[in-house]
Amino acid sequence: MTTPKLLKKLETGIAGLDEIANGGLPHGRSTLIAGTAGSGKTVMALQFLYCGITDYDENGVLVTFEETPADMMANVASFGWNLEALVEAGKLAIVDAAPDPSEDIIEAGGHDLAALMARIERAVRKVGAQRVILDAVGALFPQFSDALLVRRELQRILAGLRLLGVTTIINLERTEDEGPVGRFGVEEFVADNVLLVRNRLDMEKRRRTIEILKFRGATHQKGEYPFTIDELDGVTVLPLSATSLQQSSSDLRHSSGVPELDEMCGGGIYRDSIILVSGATGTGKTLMVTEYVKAAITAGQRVLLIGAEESRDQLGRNAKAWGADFDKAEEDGLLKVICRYPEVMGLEDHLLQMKRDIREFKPTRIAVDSLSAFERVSSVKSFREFVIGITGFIKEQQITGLFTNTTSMLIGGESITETHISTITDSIILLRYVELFGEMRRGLTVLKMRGTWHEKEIREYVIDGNGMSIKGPFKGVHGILSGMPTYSFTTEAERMETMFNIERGSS
Amino acid sequence: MKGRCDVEIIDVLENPAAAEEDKILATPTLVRKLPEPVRKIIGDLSDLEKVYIGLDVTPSGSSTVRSGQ
Repeated sequence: MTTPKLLKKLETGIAGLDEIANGGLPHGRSTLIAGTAGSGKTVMALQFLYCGITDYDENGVLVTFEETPADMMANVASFGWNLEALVEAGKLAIVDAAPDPSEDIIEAGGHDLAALMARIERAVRKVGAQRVILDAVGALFPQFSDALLVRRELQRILAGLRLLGVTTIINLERTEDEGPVGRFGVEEFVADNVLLVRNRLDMEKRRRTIEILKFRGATHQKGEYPFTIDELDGVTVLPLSATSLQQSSSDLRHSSGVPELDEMCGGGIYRDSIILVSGATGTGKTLMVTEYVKAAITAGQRVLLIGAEESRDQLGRNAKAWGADFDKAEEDGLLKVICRYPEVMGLEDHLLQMKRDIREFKPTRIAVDSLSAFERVSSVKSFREFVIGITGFIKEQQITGLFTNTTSMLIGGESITETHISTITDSIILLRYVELFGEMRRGLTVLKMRGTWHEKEIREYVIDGNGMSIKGPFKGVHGILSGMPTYSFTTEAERMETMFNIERGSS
Repeated sequence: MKGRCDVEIIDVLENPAAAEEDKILATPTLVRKLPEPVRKIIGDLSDLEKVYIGLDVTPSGSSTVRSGQ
């Protein structure tokens, strides 16, 4: 008995797409990409073609029904894709089927589109193409009065392409992000493989997603995945949920920069762990980041600091006050400070940019101050994806990460960041204001630390000219984390006496 | 029309390069290149009325038009 042959996949070369497609597009078949205007389907298809030629040595044919070839080439030139050179090198052939507005077309009797098929076939044979894109077939319909005929002819063209053994992408416009797959009933005959690209407005920002609706006879990841288009890489799909938990881990520990905290953590923080420092405004989160950065620099480790709330100069000045010279460390190549307001772009782009920064600088440690600032610019869902994406990547690279989270309430309380990433982080350090006898004090506790013993007490800490120093535990107080501390001093009575100076001791 | 126009017949299945040149999609297509603007009359020309409009000619007798092809 022979094992059944699995459907071959063709790697597209589009970052992330092959991961959610479990290897690529079904080989030798046609795949429909349906999306509204501006959803990115043309760039995606062109990237499929371009990557095929440059990365896989598979030549391609571009059939354009909508824009002129010259326009298309100019549009993707900003990605650094020189399609013209590929045409000259005989690796790319173009079939121009876009309507020419200067020409009159009159229908006078029965016809078919055999000429178009002949042109496509010629182009495929000319360059020995393995990849073909049709962009966008919807534009073919208004050119002919008989939609039925166009559908039938398109179907024949696809059958012809299948015989030629090429893998085809067909672009089709949709009028809405939801509802029917496409117009003109095209999906009815190319329904084997369907990708949906969407471009929704989400918190006043555009959020692009791609979904593999179906692959006939082949597996794929389900659901929507965000993607971005930028000048460096073109389309990048972020297969967040497909991130597998396969990171290795190590016993190596780093110093947090605060000796007492290292002790509380059982000897320092693990090398490939993510630490979340959570506290209200003014509890010393940025100071903790500074101590962490200082410790890295002292140990000769490269550290990347991503600031989302303060400018580079502000961070540098404050650090100097705590005895850390950011300027010198940057000159020495040990530190890189990147300040970017969350508002400047969408979270998907932030994620992509951070990954690039990490790849470029190759740090041993990274700090993000604060992660919760990114909450502002996104919906809960995309924030969660962002956090999973960045933490997954950091772990994969075996980098130590320190994130800060600003809680909205001064005392107690929790935030979205906390609820969303507490399961992803390995350690959580809580910084809390503690109101004791009419005085604001500060308390710190290691809430969780994976894989090691850690102190469970809530300890008081003070911030002075030397930075952060951790004192002894709060004894006899409970309910600090809930924000409603109650005192259970055994000496309470004595205390009352001294406070009000009433003679009760004798009674 | 006889003698007053040149007609070239191309089989696009044998010569797809020529179809590419003139951006032909449908078969058959009659292209009127001169006088400008270029007009494409697609179909088997069974709808004579449309053919006359497309070629911008007035029929003096249907036989003349047929011989023009």
